[in-house]
Amino acid sequence: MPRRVGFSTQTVAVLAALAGDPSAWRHGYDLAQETGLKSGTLYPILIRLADRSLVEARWEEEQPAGRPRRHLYRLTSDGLATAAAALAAVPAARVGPPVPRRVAARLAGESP
Amino acid sequence: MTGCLDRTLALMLGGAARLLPPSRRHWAEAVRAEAKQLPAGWPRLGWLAGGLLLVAREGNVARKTGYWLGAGMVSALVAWTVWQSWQAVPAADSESAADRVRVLVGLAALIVLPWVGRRRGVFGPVGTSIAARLFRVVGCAAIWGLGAIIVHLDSHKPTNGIGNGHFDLAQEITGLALLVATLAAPSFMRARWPKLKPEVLWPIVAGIGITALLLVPLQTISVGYLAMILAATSRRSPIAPRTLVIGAMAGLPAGLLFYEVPRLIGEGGWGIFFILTPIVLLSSAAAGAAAAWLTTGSESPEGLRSSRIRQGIFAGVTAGALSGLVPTFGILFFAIMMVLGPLIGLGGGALGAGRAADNPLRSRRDGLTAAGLFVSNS
Repeated sequence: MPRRVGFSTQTVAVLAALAGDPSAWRHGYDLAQETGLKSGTLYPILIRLADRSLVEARWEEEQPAGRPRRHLYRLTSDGLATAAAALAAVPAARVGPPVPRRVAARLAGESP
Repeated sequence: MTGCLDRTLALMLGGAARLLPPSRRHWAEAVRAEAKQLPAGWPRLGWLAGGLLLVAREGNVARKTGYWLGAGMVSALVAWTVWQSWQAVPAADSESAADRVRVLVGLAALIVLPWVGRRRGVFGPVGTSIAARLFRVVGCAAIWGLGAIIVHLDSHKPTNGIGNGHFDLAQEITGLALLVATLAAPSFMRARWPKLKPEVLWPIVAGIGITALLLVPLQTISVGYLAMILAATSRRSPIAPRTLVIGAMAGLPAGLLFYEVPRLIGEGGWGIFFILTPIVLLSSAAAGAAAAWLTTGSESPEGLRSSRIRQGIFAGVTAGALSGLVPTFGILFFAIMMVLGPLIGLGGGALGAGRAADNPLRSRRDGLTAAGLFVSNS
């Protein structure tokens, strides 16, 4: 059950990025690249979404060679419903510069 | 060069993560782990800087910095006060020795209480309203300032005007132990006897407090004020922020009047209290009435009436306490009003609140309906 749809443009962008492939676990840099958000903006949004149980997070299980384990994110079922409501509610015209064209197109219902 | 900066920022982020609650630290670690995936140079630096910003926001670093700055200022004030107390009086003077003990213990209490006030309980944490936060900060600063002023004045007087006679170690220890007992009594008694009735508990606490007041008056008054300020502004406080504001609006002008009245009437002795007492009574009654009138609620008429009277009494006590505290800054003689003020305010607030609760203001709509010209009998 979606709780609210009055999210900021940046939050909608994160929701849209995560909703692109709801079953996939995404990592922070990947989301930052897609949404164009800086880490200081992206992570507080992820924290708020996780606090509301809209996003679930976990660490990579395997220790990869040559780099630290990553923190991974994906939408919960509640988050997916909320994202759908948020994407439906926000017109593409309201999407500001931090959101790349690909996400704006998705918000407008076009193919990326 | 950026490689060195990368490492420094990564180290800083690792250290700063400890500022976050344990349940949130992994978010800072996530930013740090991810940084390795970014191209070296400015992108990675920007990413790590964003992580530091995240820690600053999530860890309430600005507020914590404020607390530490406040603690630093208080420590500086304490050091200055103690230095004032030490440098200007002869060491062999028994009264100055008494003052020194009082100053040290009083200051220790003034530091410990706000520290206790940060934890969940009667004294803390601070309420969420701006009025509660402002009242707490200004109130604590005022009490600490008053302590410093007393010591400063005392150290520049040829004869010691503070204290109640020669130094008596047994009396000092008894008084201070009672002071600690007064503060600890409610929590201890509630823990030991959970079913203890308030009408039994509070007279016992009051008895210990009065005994302490007789033995170490200045510490008891200042520590009592600080405890009242912390309790009144804590999250659990039954006092509405509006009530605090009304009490302050009534008490501050009354306190400032205290400076002028003795000058105008040429009276400087105890007789002045016969004039000042009605001023406090009137201001606290006005505060009580205003707080009661402005208290609204959806409970039963009886419940609303009780709530109005309660808020009115709180406003009266606040007004009375402030009208006693303000003049004491300039004239130590008025320190007695720090005790009498809240008591008079209690009576005044109850009077005002009782009148207001029995005669609630009609709403504007009612007033317009009854205004006369356009009332229809149809």
